[in-house]
Amino acid sequence: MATELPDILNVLVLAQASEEALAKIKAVAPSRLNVIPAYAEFLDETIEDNAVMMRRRGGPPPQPRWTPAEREATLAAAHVVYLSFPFPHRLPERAASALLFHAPFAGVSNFKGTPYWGSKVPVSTSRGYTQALPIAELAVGAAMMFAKGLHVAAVNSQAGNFDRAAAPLMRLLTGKTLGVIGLGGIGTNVARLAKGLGMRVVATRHSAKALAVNTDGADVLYPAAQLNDMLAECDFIVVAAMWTDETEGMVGADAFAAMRDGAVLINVARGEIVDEAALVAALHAGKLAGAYLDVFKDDFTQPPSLDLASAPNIVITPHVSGRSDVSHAFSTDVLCDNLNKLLAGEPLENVVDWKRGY
Amino acid sequence: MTLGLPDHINVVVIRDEPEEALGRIRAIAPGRITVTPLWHSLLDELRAQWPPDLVDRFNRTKPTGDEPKGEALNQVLAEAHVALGSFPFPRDLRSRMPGAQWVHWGFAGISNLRPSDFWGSDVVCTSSRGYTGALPIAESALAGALMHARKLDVGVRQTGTREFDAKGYEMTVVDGKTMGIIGLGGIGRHLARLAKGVGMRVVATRRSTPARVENTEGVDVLYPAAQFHDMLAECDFVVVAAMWTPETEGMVDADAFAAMRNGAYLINIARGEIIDEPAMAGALASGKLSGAYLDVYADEFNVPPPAALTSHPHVVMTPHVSQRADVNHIFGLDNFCSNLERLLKGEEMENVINWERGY
Repeated sequence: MATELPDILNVLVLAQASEEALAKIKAVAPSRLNVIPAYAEFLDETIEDNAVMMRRRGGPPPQPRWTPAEREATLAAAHVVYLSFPFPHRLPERAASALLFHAPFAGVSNFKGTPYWGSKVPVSTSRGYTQALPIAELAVGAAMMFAKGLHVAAVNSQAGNFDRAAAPLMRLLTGKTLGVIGLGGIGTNVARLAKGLGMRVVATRHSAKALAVNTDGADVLYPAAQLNDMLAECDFIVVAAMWTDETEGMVGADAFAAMRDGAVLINVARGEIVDEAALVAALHAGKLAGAYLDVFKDDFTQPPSLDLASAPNIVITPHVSGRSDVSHAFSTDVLCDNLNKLLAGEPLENVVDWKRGY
Repeated sequence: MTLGLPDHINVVVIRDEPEEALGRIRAIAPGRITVTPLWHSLLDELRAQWPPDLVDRFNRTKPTGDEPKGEALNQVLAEAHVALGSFPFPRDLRSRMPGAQWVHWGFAGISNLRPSDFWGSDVVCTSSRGYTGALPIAESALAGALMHARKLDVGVRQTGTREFDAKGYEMTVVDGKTMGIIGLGGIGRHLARLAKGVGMRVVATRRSTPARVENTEGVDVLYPAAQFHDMLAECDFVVVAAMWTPETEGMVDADAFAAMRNGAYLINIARGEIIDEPAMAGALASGKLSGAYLDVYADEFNVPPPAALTSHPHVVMTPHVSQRADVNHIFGLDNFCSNLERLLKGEEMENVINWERGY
């Protein structure tokens, strides 16, 4: 593979990369990489293809410097394209020299319905290298909030309600069981934090072939097919799986039936993994003591449905779980790794298996 | 300590414990201990002796139907050597357990025993002082820190109004941040362990610490109370976990807020009187404090909380419930089991009640 590579690789950077990040990419092989920052150059396409999502962004957009002809020529000559999020959809057919598309995000579901899906040119993601830590902290924070009744307190104290009898049942976290659906980058961080709180941690993982104990920070790791066995053990359940054909709607009526009475569901992955009608029913029935959702169906384009947002004991945030005061953006590191591997002719990291779905 | 225990020990459990708890006691000396649960046998008596709704709050498991009743119950009590009790309990228990050698009580303060024939009795009694509420309180304090760091209070309130706006979620991570604990006692030690468990740096003050010490008792730095302001200057989250004494009253005052980092969060799970509330309201209004989680406020049994606190968008308050938990009783069980092990090895038991001292 390495022998077929051109002497100079054009690395087109659509991601909003800092000077430092650009320098880091260049430093992988200064004599062989031509790093081309191009965030502003494709912004009109990005906005056009992601109109609703881009509306959330403030401030005037930076102006392009290239003519349309320059843009097409540069794209056609690009060997590696470092995508933005959101990203322009109609690149693959125009990037005729492309050897790799690299995404700064973890989930492949973002590519659904775009020409990247099923691409013959390898697409790598930053799975395991994005906002896993802040997302995990939020998931564990939500478990603690429900355990300590702070979801009720935040409302009651502002309303001046200090009736001690109105405070919800409070639970000790120590010794309780937290289940992680999808023990990946976020899930292993959730497991570590929950263990730090003295909790027992169980998990499922797509690639786990058989039940294993004391694995990757979990007390018990179940194959995905044994999801309901795992759910039956859990006081708190964190959805941290990829959204794939296999996981879509997997937390449905059967899964809720398998859960303990009074369990708490937390979703920091994708809304489509949870059957929202079944969730709403479980909350109304009191089967669940609470649900925290950072994600819900179609959250990039719509607010949560009234049924969902008005269910008892639900707390929803508008897909903000990755926010932090500290940078956790290691997607450039994954790109640098892959550039090294590309130059050395080695297999690339985190390349999407379109059949598996991540 | 060696009591006059026989080779085979009859233990009665007079509070509601699940089967696994009974198994844990039996496992301490298999074959040497007979454990008989008597909660459901005594429930009707307890309802007659104490406010019945209060008794029912402690009733968690279902009866099996095999519980000894009447004469059989009295026979089991008469033959018992050791008891594990808590609130509520039969007020005439001492006279019905003539062979009693030791009773462990799962509560911290023994004023509960005053209206019973155990008060001042010759039977060795131990308590769970120092173990009852510290862990759930510490968990509540950390929950308050995470709620603020991850802006879950904003999520709760946006969900309430169903007006979702991604602005307003200026989140921080707790990983690598510094938590300062004012008063490193029973609560503070649990809190330090939990905060370390989620990746935080932990500093603390303690009244009895003569000089600044690093890496001690589960904290990165332990300061004497006199260097309180030095500690505050390091903290992203400040937790009040001290006793309310003349020395601590109002100690978190305007000078203390001035010493804190801009944007710090304050958590109080101790007593409201330790904080100067007008100074806190000022610090919240100026943005010096980003927010607060308060389980207590000054004079909380007599007056409502100050509006300047309850109306602030990033203040969350609870009505003095941070100690509540579904499994408080396990602490009493831990103390009982460790004391039983000590007793069988001939060692001194912990928390032996001194009736004169009163705890």
